[in-house]
Amino acid sequence: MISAALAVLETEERRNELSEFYEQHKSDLYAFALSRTHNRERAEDAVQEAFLRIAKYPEGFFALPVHKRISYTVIVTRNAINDILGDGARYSELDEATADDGLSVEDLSIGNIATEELKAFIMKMPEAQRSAIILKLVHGMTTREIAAALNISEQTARKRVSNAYRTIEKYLKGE
Amino acid sequence: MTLANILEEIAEQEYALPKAAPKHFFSFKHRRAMNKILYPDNLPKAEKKPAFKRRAVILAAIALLAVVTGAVSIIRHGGFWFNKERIEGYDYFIMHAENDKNAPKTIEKLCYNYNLPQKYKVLDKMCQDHEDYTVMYYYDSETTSINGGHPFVMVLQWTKQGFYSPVDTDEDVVEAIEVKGSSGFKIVKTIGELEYDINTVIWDCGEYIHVIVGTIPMEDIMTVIDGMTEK
Repeated sequence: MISAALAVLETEERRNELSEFYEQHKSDLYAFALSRTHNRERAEDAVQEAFLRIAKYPEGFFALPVHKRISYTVIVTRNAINDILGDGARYSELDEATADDGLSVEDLSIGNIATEELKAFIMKMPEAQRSAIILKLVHGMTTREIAAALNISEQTARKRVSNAYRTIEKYLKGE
Repeated sequence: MTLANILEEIAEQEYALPKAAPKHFFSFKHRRAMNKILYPDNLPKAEKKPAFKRRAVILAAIALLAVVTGAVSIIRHGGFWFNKERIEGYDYFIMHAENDKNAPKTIEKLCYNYNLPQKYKVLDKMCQDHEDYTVMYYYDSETTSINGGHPFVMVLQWTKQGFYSPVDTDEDVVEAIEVKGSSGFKIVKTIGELEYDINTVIWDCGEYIHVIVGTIPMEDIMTVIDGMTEK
């Protein structure tokens, strides 16, 4: 698995760029992971797993503007933490499986909904949906890249994004 | 404000990193794994063990010196000499300083003001004065190791006649370098069961031999050396 990931970091420039990013933020990412795992070894494993996932599909990472790479890496790290702690199973996205009907964010009009109220609502959404929709809309990632970042299947990634859309749409319509 | 704007604000808030988290000294296991991820074809020297047993590999600017067991008993380089000794069933090359009749036989003065960065605190009980050497022991108060302790660094000054340092042919990678304009060596000891390297820099500072050794990264040892000023 590692050798397959390694081949993707083809150019020395990309390796250096990712390496510099790691060196700059590794202690912060470790502190973030430690706050959630409460275990030093698991925290280190989470950081390692996050960068392995980034290295596996680096196009998404390198396509991001620099200021968005942190939030992206934190999402990947948080997901790695969930996998390490075995918390991934609590996201029952399959229960609300909906077809992907091509709904896009442009179709969702905020209307008169207060910004802070909408923010508060989105913060209460399941993290699985929230991180998927943020990777999609804020980081511009494809389903394949979202799946790689969250270590899930493409089908599951598609469902999480779709479910997030539906959840927000219902809220905006007052349903 | 659009939905995308709102999501971006949420991303910046929720997925921000802690500000100024304390520096963490990552375990050997993690560092080795990250080296494989980031630099698969070019593992740093600390990760590589000598390709052959019972040889000291000394990388010099001019030549690679390889010693085959039994063929050469003493090698010399840059004011130091090495002889092969077998200790408790293992081969070691013991590093000595070349004999200098004018060098002091005891520690009469310290060569340097150490000027270590503030995060390094002295642990008095580990500091010693000996006929052949003095040692100052510091620990990195801002970094914790995976076992909950602190990385440490020791600064030793040896008399030339008393100086010796064993080099483990299985665990150590030795490189000849220049330190503060004098000949010296950089040694990285990698022990599999430990979660850190033990890094050493040794150099001839004229009348004495200076040694910096610790579990801090080699680049931090070089930072300590850069900060040392002659008295």
